[in-house]
Amino acid sequence: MIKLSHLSKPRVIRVDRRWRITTRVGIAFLATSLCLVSILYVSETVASLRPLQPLLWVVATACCSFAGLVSMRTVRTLRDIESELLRHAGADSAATVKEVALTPRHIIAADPICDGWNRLLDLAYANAQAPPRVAAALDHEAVTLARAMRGLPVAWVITDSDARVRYISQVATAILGAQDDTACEGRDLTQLLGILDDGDEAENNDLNEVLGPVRMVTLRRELTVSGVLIKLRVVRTRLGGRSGDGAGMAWVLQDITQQQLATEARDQFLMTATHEFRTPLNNLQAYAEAIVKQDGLDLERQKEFCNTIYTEANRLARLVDHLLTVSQMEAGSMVVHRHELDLLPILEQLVEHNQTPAAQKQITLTSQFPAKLPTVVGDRDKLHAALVNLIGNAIKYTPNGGEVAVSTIVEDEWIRIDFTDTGVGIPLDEQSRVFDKFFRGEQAIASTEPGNGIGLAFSREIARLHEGELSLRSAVGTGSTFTMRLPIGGKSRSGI
Amino acid sequence: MTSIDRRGGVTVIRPDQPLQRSTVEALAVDVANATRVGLPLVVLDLTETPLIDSAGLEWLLDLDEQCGGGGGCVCLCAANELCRDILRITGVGATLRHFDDLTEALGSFA
Amino acid sequence: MTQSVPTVLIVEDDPVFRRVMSFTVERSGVSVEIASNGQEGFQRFIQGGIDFIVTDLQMPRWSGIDMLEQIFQQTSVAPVPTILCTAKGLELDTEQLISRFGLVAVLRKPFSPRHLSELISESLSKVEVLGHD
Repeated sequence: MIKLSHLSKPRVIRVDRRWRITTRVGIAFLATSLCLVSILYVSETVASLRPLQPLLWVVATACCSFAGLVSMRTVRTLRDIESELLRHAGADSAATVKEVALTPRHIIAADPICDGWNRLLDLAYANAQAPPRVAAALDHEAVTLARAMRGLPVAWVITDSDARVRYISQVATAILGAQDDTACEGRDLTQLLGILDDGDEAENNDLNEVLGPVRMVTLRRELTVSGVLIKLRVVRTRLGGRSGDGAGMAWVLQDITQQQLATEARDQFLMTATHEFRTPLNNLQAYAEAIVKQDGLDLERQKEFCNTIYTEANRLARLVDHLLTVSQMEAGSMVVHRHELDLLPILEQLVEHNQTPAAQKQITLTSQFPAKLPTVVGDRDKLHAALVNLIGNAIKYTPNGGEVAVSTIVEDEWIRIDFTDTGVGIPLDEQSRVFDKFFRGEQAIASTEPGNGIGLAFSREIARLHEGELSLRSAVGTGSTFTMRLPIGGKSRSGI
Repeated sequence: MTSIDRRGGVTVIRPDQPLQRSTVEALAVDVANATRVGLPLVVLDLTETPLIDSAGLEWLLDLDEQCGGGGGCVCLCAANELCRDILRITGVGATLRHFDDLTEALGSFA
Repeated sequence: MTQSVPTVLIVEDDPVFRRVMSFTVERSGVSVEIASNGQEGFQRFIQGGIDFIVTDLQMPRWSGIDMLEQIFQQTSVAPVPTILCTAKGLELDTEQLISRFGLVAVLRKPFSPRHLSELISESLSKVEVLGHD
């Protein structure tokens, strides 16, 4: 393309003052003919020269030969050019010969057409090599960039200064819910983004800002695409460059729906967590104040209040522990110490320690353990905390006079620990949610027992950390069974 | 002393003197140093800036150009009445976003 | 005021805190009734005889706000002075709540039950003075 355009450039044709090749050959032959005619004429008319006739023939022949030589010399450059061209023409058929060797070569001669040929070749080669090489490099860059733009997982849109879409990435069309890029081309991006000029002041501000001369504008949009609400962060920059070239705007759309959800979840968590912290803290302060400031408090009251302070302090400590553990586990930064553990003594101790609180509520706490249990690999403190929590829950949510049973059996590769109570039970629709952080069932809320809704989330995280699981079977009115399964020998994730 | 601090990813510059020929050069150097690392997102807090002269305006545009080249931008906040008028009349205000207070300006980058 | 001893209704879901609140308030010489959530509180309130309400904000079923809204819609019994307690932080617009329900105060947990009981006495004595006028 480029080569052609180069060659077809109008060039000043230099009119050569020298005779053309045909003229020169013609003149050579004319001179020869004239020579021959004059010799013939002389030999016929001048009798005295008759004896010299053989000599004249020799001269005539010499004339002819000379003319031939002159012609040959004249066309020699042409012949060279011809042979070069022929060589080149033959290259297509003779594929065995290296192509490079067969390109027309420069020729050396005194003839002006030689100069012309050489110059032509120079031009052709210059076109074939230098400028096309630049063009190829440009092409390469442009092609790579274009491919990168298409391949980038970024929703970019290039518009003109009026926000009319000129180019749009597939990601952006997907975000905007369009069929393909042609569906968006030429449309007003502000409309696609739902920034409408509908008299709403905030909308108008957005619109003015986006179409204004500010170099970079960031805004957030909420967009409903085929029934789904998505949240977008839109960054638009004005395309720089010399005046008049490539004026327009580049837009990047980021789908921040997920991020937004995460932020909201975090805020929600923080709010709930602070609430959960404030409640025991508030109690501590209130009871302490009651003891300190109220005069004439009888001993029984004082003792009761101190007890409350004690349990509330414990509750706060447990909450801090659980919360830290759960968030650490969620962040994946939990440090787990793995040792070979015999669960039996832990469980026996657990049941023993909980006899007193159970007895306070006239609850029968029974246990059923085999004589020997295989070991598990795990973190003693964390497992202990989880088990304490489960047995505590069972006692807490079982009404006075009920029963709580802890039993352990070995099932295939698992140690199964059941905590069965005769409590209020958990309705089916709540069963999947009791393991959520801060979720408290209706019954739990109705009960007078304080709770923070983090214990079960904590216990399940611990079970999972040990490659185990915590599950629940329950029916309203008959009670619940929480089952913790731990793998024998601890098929731990880290391969210990 | 002009305070320059980093709020998250945003550089907040709060000059305590007019943006004018005599002050702008030193400021430019400080700001250039402060925005060398990371995305150059700059908020220029004009609370304590009584006046902007032509050199100051020029610097603002240069700074925006520079930051724009690095993928960031400059926005202004809390300019007084006079500065606002100067920005509006010279048209410089049209190319730089202005916010009423710092919180709002920082929020615009969120 | 027809009753010699005013009755304070305490609506709070945390039994532990309810205990200490009612204890402290009772000691200031008023009679105390308790409810563990907004709905319960509302039902007790419309039975009448309540001179003052202390309610928590975040409670299961009906929140403190829900309860107050119901009370304000209820025409049979006139609203009484109310103190709202909350474990919420600074995100709560207390000013708006105070003007909306004519609250005596919004107390942020942790707060002192003694301070609460002082506020109650103060507010009740004001009402009494007005009542005598």
